[in-house]
This record gives sequence, structure tokens and C-alpha cells, in this order.
Amino acid sequence: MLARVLFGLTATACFLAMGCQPYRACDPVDESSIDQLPNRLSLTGIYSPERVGTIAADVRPYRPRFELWSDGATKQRWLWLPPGASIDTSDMDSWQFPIGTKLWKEFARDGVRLETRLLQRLSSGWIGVAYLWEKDASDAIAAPYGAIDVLETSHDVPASNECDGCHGGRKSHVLGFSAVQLAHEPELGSLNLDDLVRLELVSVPPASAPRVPGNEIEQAALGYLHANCSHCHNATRPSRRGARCFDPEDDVDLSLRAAEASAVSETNTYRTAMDDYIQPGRPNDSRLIELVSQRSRFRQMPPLASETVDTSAVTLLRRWIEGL
Amino acid sequence: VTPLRRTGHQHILARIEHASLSRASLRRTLHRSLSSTLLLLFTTAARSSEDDSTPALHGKDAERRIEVSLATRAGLVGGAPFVTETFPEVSGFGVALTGAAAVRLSSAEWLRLELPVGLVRLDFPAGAQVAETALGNIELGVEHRLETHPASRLGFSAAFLAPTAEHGPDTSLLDNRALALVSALNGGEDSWLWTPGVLGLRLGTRAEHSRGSFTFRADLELPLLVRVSDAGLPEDADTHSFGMLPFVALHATWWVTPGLAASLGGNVSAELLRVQEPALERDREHRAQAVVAPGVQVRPSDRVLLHLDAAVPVGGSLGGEAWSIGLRGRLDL
Repeated sequence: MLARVLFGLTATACFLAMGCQPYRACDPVDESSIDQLPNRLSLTGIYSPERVGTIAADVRPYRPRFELWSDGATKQRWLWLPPGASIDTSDMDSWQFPIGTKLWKEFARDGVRLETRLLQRLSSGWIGVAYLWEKDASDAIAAPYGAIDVLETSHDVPASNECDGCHGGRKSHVLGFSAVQLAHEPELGSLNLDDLVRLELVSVPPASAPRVPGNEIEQAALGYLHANCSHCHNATRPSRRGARCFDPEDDVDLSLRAAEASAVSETNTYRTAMDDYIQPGRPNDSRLIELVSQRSRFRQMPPLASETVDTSAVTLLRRWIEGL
Repeated sequence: VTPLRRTGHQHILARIEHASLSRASLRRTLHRSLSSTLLLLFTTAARSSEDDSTPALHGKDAERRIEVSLATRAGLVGGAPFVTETFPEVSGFGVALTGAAAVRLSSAEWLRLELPVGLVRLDFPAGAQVAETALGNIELGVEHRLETHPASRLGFSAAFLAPTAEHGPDTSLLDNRALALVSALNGGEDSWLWTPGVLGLRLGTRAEHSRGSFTFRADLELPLLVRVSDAGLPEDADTHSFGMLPFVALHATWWVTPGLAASLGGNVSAELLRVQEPALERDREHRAQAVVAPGVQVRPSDRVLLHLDAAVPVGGSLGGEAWSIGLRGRLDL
């Protein structure tokens, strides 16, 4: 109780100074960039010109090995590369995509499509916008300022400037489509690393398929942290421009590298978070568990785009920490 | 939803919007400057006698010719009603800043101008926050103050409300949302100042009585609003042409020592006629909002009065969703 009162007083002091939670402050929506994107999803090139709803032949589905938790929403993802272009993979941990690249991610709940996000590389840089599906699912309309509780669900659609909250934390700007994330065997028809090499869509093939060290639990835990935390918590984050916008001020690095070491003790997570956010053998004393186990205005991880605790992930992380 | 492909005159409008980037930048600078000097303002702010009553200070009323005041209220809103399906609620934190000046026209008549500004950090859907500054409706009115008894006063006021509240471009609703958030900070007690697209007339009366070390005050306000624009709201917003938002407040102050008082206030604002309906049905059901405001007053010298209080909405659509702390300083010259 005393802690709550003290926390409340501290928060009050923050409000008075308007400096509370500075890491949440982002730049406003850049309308001039947004204007370069189509108003309707059907105009973005994802669908066949003959029929809305049928994915175009040159738009390829993919699924990352470790998925970002999105409060239980089911997701589908697609990539389109300009004809003849390939991804610059000279830095295997930070792929650079050609101008014109488009990635889409569709969110659904109970089989109902809610939104489809588009991330596109323009000559001026990356721009993202979410398209909100209409009730009759005939098309989706751009929502540069996002929306809350769409189609009578608890699903929130991010505003365009919030894309940078996660994507701005990586040099590549693309999350989930990387050597680490594609080195697996997804369902039939989805792109993986082998496909990219075979189709000559990468400039430099990896020397060997990236592997995550450790046993099954360790791999799953490291993968979860990579997919859900490392877009902010990584050591190679681009230097800050504009507002802080979810730029951490500690040096914890929870990312996996394509050329990962053979021992878990050499991974970024073990090197930077142990005995700090993670207390080996003591999940109840680990700040990581405390933060991922709650959702509140002031204390939660990840702080962006989630209102529901990923209980299965918490169970996984607890088991992992207990076994350390 | 924004039409992203613009043609014809929309291109011209877009260019104008782009040209106003410098204005946006200016506003952000203003926001930061005001925020950073806020605490300084707290300590130097002067507040008119209408909000802070002490018997000792009343005696100086006859000497005053001009009153300048600044009221500040800072706090958090977890979820306040808003009017569109896309954003049925607003949340964030911020500061309501209301500056006022009153000039004595005669022994009992005052001309009063009030300028409300909101400085907020709006929550965006995924959890980011963006700073926004929005001007409220400017109020210009007259007050008639009567001393009916050495310990009692009556006041009457009538004020014109200019439709100056910013609503911004209809693509973003940012200014609309900022104003809704600031209004919630105040527990809805002066929502007419923060409603965009309306002009209005506010009639008010006040009774005040001092007895021993106690001062009691009662206020009744009756704002009548007329919608003059759609305030940039989309078609799905349910708006009306007229609004009536009566407000009743009771306040008691106990001067424990000559320099220290405890106060307790409470008010109820009702929405007899709304100019804009909340999007959520559960918010539409709440027509009244009560606010409890305990506080302390400190008078470090004869010329200075500090008033710190908390506004805690009870019940209604804001109960448990908003709270704020107000700090006012009054300087008698």
C-alpha cells in the first residue's frame, strides 16, 4: 500500500512537470509521407487486380519462427519485392530492403479481419500505415491516426507514427523477416531462408543457417525475447532522431544474432541481462518476469501494442529462469 | 478516415497544411516552454478572489481595480468519453491552464476575460504519447458582486463564450481529443470551456458566507451552448444544435490557524442537453458527474494565498478514470 501511495505521489510529480514516461513520447504523424500511400488496401498491390481478397501472384507469404505477441490475434504476413531486386544481406543481422519493398501484416480475431498494416520503403525512407477493415470486409481503409476497440473487439490499431516505436529500433526497419526469423520450416507456400537463397532474393547467402543455441526451453525463451523485446532492447539500435519514442536507456540487448555462438552463455541476453533483469533460478525476483506479467499504464513489457498478458510466454520464461 | 490520394483543391489544402508545419513546430515549442515553466508559474500565479475565500482578504476587495489570475490543474485521465467510433475514449495526462483578468467597472461591477489552454500528452492507440496544445473557448463577461452583510456576499455573472476552441484537421481529431481530455481533468466542471464548435452564454450566481473560522460558498452556473460548426468531427459523431450543462458547487473552508485552512468542495455537473453524444452507450447513460475536492489553503503572508486541492470524480463516466491536482496561487496587489 505504501509503495502504491509513493508511486502515486511520484507520478503526480511527473505530471506536474510534464516529464513522465518520456520514453513513450513519439513524433506526430507525418501526414506528408502518409499522403504518398493509397487510401485503400486494395490499391496497395496486395491483391490480384482481378479480385479483391485474392493475394497477388508476386506477393509472397511468410511466417517468422518466433512471433510477436499481439494479444492473441491471429496474423498473416506477406512480402513484395520490386521485380529483379534483392535484399542486401551483407550484414546478416540487418538486412537492407530495396526501395519499393512492401510488407503487409493482417490481424484477425475469431476469423474476422480487423486491420492490415503496410510497411513500405519509399525513396525517402520507411513509412507505415494501418488499414482498417470495413464491417462487410469488402476492403480496408487507411487509418493514419489508428483506432481503438475496432469492430467491437478490444483490438487497437496503431497510428502511423507508432510504427517507429518498434520498427525504428532496428537498422533494417523490418521485424520478423530476417535470417534468424526465417531459418525454419514454415507451412507450405511460406517463404523461408532457403527459398530466398534459391530464388536469389538475397545478395549474400548466409554461410550457414542461423541456429539458436541451447535446449528447447532456452531456444524458445531466447526466441520470445528476440521477437517481443529486441526491437527496442538491442545494442545496434539506430541513433535517436526526434522524440525518444521507446528508445531504452539501459544497455540490455535481447536480440539473437544470425551468427549466434554455440553456447547460450555467449548470447546477448545471457551476457547483458543476467543478474540484472534476470535472476538465475529465481523468477519471482526477476524484473523481467515482473514486467511481462502485468499490464498497466505505468508498468508493463512490452509497453507498446499489448493490453493482455501472454500467459504462456510468462510460464515459459519462468521455467527457463528456474532452470538457469 | 483520411483520403490519402488528393486531387484538385485537396492538393492546395494539403500544401496549406504542409505550410503550417512551422506552426505545428511553434506549438510544440510553446508546449515545451509552457511545460517547463509550469512549476514556476505555480509559485507566481495570482488567482482572483472568486475561487479562494478568506475573510481577511475580502476586506481588500474595495481596493482592487484589476485582478489577474492563473489557475492550473494537472492530472491523469485513464479513459474519458469521446464522440467517434474510431476513438470512443481519450486518455493521457496534462495540464489545464486558465488565465483570467478582471477590470473593475464600478464599485460592484467587473468585466472579466478568461482564456483556457490545455497542454496534454495524448495516448495513441498502441501506447505512444504525443504532445498537443489546444486553446479552449474564450469567455468574456460581467460580474456583479454585492456585499449583503459584513459576512455575506452575493455575486451574479453573465458571460459570452466565443467559439475559439481549436478542433484541428478532421483527419486527426487531435485537438478535439486534447480538449476532451482537459475537460475530464477538471471532472467536467467547466466543460463549456473545452467544447469545440460552440458559442454560448453562461449565467451564474454565487453566495458566500463567513462564520467564525469557517467560510461557506455555493455556486450555480447555467451555460447554454449553440453549435456553430461540426468541429471537424466525422459523420459518425452524434452532435446536436443546443446544449445545456448546469453546474452546482458547494465549498467549505475551515481556518485552523490564521495561516492554514482545510477545505472540502464538491460539485455536480449535469448534461441536460448535450451538444455531442459519447460514442459508447455506457457513457451516454451517465448524465451527471460528481467531483469531490479536498484541499488545503496556506497563507504565508497577508498578500499571498496558496490553494492545493485534488479533484476526484465520483461515479459518472469519469469515476475511477480521472484525477487531478490543482495548485493555485493568489497575490493581492
